[in-house]
Amino acid sequence: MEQKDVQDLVDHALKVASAKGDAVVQARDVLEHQIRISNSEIDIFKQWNYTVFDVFIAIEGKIGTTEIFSPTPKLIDEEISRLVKLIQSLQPTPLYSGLQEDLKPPTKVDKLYDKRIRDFPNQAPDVVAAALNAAQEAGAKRTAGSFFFSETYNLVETTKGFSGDYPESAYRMTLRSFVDPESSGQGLAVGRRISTAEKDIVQAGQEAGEIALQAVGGKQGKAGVYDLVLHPTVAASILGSLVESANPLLLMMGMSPLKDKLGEKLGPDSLSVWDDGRKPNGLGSAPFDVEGTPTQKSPIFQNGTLQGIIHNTSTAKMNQAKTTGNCSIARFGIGSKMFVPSPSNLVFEPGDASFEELLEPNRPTIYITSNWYLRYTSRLEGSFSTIPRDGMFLIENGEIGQSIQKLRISDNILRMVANIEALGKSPRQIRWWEVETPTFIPFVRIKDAKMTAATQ
Amino acid sequence: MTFHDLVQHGVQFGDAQGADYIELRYVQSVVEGYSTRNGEIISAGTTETAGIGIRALANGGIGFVSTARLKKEEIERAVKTAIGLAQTSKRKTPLVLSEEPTVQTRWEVPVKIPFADVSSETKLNRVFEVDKTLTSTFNSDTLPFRLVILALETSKKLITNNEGTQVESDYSLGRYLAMLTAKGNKDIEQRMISRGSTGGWEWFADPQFIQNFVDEAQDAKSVADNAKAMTFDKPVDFIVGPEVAGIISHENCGHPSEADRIQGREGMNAGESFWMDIDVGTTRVGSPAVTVIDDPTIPKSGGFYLYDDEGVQARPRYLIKEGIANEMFHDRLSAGRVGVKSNGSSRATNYNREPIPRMANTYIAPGDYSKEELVEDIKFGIYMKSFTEWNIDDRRYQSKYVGSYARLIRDGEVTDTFVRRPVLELTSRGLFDAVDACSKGFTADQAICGKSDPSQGIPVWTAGPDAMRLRAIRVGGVPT
Repeated sequence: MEQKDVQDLVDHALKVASAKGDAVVQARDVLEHQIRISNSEIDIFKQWNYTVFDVFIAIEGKIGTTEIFSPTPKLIDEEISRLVKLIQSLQPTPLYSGLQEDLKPPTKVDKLYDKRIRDFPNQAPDVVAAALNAAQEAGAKRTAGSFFFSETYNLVETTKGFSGDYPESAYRMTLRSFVDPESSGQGLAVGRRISTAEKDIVQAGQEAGEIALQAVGGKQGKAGVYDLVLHPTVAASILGSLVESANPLLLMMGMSPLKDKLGEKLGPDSLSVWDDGRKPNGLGSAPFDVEGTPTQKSPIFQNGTLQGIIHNTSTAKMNQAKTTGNCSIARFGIGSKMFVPSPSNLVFEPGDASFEELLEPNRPTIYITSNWYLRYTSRLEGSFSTIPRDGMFLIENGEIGQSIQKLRISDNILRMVANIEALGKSPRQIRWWEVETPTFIPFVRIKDAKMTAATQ
Repeated sequence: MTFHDLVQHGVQFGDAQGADYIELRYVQSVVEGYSTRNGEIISAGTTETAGIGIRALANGGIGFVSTARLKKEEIERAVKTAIGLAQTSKRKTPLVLSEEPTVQTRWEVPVKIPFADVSSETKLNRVFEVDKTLTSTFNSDTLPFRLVILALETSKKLITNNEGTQVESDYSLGRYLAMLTAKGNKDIEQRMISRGSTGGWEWFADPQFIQNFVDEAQDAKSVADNAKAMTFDKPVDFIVGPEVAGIISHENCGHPSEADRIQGREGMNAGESFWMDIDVGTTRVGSPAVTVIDDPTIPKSGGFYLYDDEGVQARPRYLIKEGIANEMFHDRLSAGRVGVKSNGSSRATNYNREPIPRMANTYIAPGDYSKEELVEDIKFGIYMKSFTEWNIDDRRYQSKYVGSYARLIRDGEVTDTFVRRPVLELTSRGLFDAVDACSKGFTADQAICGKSDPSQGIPVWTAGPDAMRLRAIRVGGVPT
């Protein structure tokens, strides 16, 4: 859809909605592609081309949202009329107390859009082929993958007078190489700059192939207590899950172990983490949130202390705090969306250790390159387990040693954060199937983690 | 043009453009959701979508394009694009679909009270009733966090391809999710529950709807009040309830028997399968007491359908028969790769997702015993009725289920001693080998099965008999 047409339709939607109460209209015009790969061949090449509006309306403290695909003036009128009828049948919610009124200029965010994305669909199969070659040259017998790339035009308008738009481009490639069914390795490439995409993607192929080759000959690991060196992919999944729970919605639902812990020292001095909505090249970056609040860099952990949680205008009022520019219209449950704070990019401050230095301490240590299926026994307590997949190795004399398999991290997230011993100096952006919030994080070493294995 | 005309035109257009296979799947869907937290509404809304998913096979590759712009010119663009994307794949090993009978038919979910005929006030009041009943039965200190989500989904679908198949359907599913946090004398226990049924509002109107929440909250409170951590130095017998048997049937049998995983197509995300290493039809993967079935045709079930998303007629799949790996989930693509027929397992969550092999209603087949008969043979063991945390590796071999409501069994009786979070950390083979008997009965939980990228969370039932007995299990747990 042409940008002018999107603009006209958003104006129309806001006009219709504003007659009823406070309103936000968020439009996205998206052209997205995906290439799925297995056995080193393309299985399917997909395209999604769509325009979707999220409309939020608040009438006397009662709120509701609707999602309108392929909007037309007639469809907008019908959907808003239906939404208003639904809202009028509801009761006021504690989660809404007004929209952002103190309008400020949007944040300038670097590297959100690269116009070379337009030609990328034609080049993508060759980029995939280059990555598969790199994996094979590194030792892979076969490689699977998932490669998304997209360009999106975003426009937000609110009844408080905010109007802002921006284009964005994005790519994310995940590659997983196999030497045999139980010897695999993963590589990721994530970003917005198409000019560096091919280099990053080929490097991801190479890393996947190298880890897979290194994993050959894996032996059953022994349950016990180990130090862990976590690849950024694993660190983002485990440590990121705690930082993500610094969210007022999760706190009020009893789904965060951070309840009543604001101001408490939970980790070492080396642990500082921000929610940073303006991080260059970050897939979660944007100039403003859906209320029109400029995005910002908000401290979550500073020197190990839980310093803050993310907010929109309403949750900030509930908590006597200030909005952090994290308002979103986020899917919740099934069928409905919520007007709530959502994380943008989680950014961990890197440490000063090289990867080799992280391997140095002479204690039983395991290096984990990837994981999946993180589940909490109790979200309030933070007890959880997750399963390493792909290459996992014993560290022997400060070097990567015997490949091991079939262990599970079964621990408590608060204990693991308290036991962070060192962070590496080279962060990477992680975003894949298992890590939905883009996370900039280096390698991390954690003391005394508990590993379990099947008993029979 | 009507959607019938559009899909027909798209198929003819794709055929004329040289597609070896072209399929258009129109889906019009309405999903309505209501969520409350501690009796206050936190979310309500409707997502309505209508669009067409187009899958084209050309030059041995597959292209997929979806569009919600339901105009003739747009459909032609989308069809051309899908064919173009398929051609650029440049596969060395061409993809083929299995040959299947063409059908022209329609099916529907029987509905007594359509969701559209019920006011949003009535729907929301039903959610409020849950919270009122919970707080009046217990009190808000005992249940400090109560999250209840009601979800109502209806859809109309038309699947057409250039082989002449045309299947139209009307679908309706109601379900709820809840997270209850119970605070007891000893501990805090969090309980996630999910139930659902295809049909209409009549399912929610049933008095049992509210009673389920009360029963679940009582279980969570009992655990929080009474459960004691115990260590078990020697192997013990387990009786697991239908909730645990159901998740086992899904994770340790259903997922590994998906043919696309076995062929490597999910290698990147959902993973592959230990069934890659066995001979389906002859390899033993469990004791003779284990039979696992997936049946999409169970009336009112949460994973109900009669024709899949490729227009293939649904039927029960016997995944494990008396301990022998027997059958995989096939769609036409996975079946075509190995020269067999599809067994009607192809499902997509909406028009904008490709259809892939999925489960529907997976369950451990019941046996002839009563639950009491299974318990009375146990000298010392654990009755694990429900679970909290679980996970399994991506080859679906290393699984873990942490008990929630669990009580000690002594001398053939379930005692009043609650066991805190006993852990079944077992390989799939170790688990199914240990099963020596199943009782009568069939109870199902509604679940959302996650798979693929972009993730397609699809409604399924996981089910099991009243009791499944596992002998001589070494209880897992965190090392000290």
